[in-house]
Amino acid sequence: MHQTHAHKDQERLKLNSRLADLALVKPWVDALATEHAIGEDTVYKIELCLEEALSNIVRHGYKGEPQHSIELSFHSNGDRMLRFAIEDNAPHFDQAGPGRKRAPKNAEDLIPGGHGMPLMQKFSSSVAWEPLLNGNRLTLTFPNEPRETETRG
Amino acid sequence: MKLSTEELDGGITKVVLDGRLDIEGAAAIDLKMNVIAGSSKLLLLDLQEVTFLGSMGLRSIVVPAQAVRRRGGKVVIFAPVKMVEEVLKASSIDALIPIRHELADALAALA
Repeated sequence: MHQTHAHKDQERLKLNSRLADLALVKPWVDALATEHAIGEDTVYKIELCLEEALSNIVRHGYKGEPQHSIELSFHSNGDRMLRFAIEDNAPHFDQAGPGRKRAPKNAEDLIPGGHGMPLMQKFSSSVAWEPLLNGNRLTLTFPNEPRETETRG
Repeated sequence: MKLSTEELDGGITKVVLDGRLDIEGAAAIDLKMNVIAGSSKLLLLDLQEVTFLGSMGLRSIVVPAQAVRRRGGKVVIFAPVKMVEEVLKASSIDALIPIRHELADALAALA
């Protein structure tokens, strides 16, 4: 039976570099959302951006090799901003590489895939990359738009 | 991720997707979507029960839609929820595959 080596505590989540481990992100984000009263739309944006960032690391950073680690951490310092940092040990991210897409002229011009970076830029408040000695850190921030009060009886 | 189909009048195939169209969801429907796209010329993609759409999910929509259009067919997206529609629009897909929220409008877009 397959056993995952993913590890999580309240503010951190450690994954192996395989797409199957991305399934562990949603329950972790859901728990944070409950703890910090994060609104539904913000949760969607967080899950969208984390999926894009993590799948890019797995597929492009680690080139599909499953034995590497990825560590997510969450910080909220009371300024109503939510900050997620993703650290890996992959080769430095090529900022000049694929990422920004031009607008397609017609349906045949739409390139399947490759929407990750534009989506992250659209749905987060900021995307910041920094090189580490052996790897990368990507930091995504989101405004904490609290959950609306439940009005249904 | 669940996928079901229904044949409507006028040769329209309605594809109902239900669940999260994330990496796992996209992998679950890709093959079925490609088979449907290979045999249908008028495709109504019902997204009202899709709760999440990521870029791999977008691919699961765009690739079959391109296949249908290459064969002279038409595709319309029906009733996505607010955040799913935002993702579609952020990816410029709405300019190429029309999005309709009323069934009659969706069917008219395929006429």
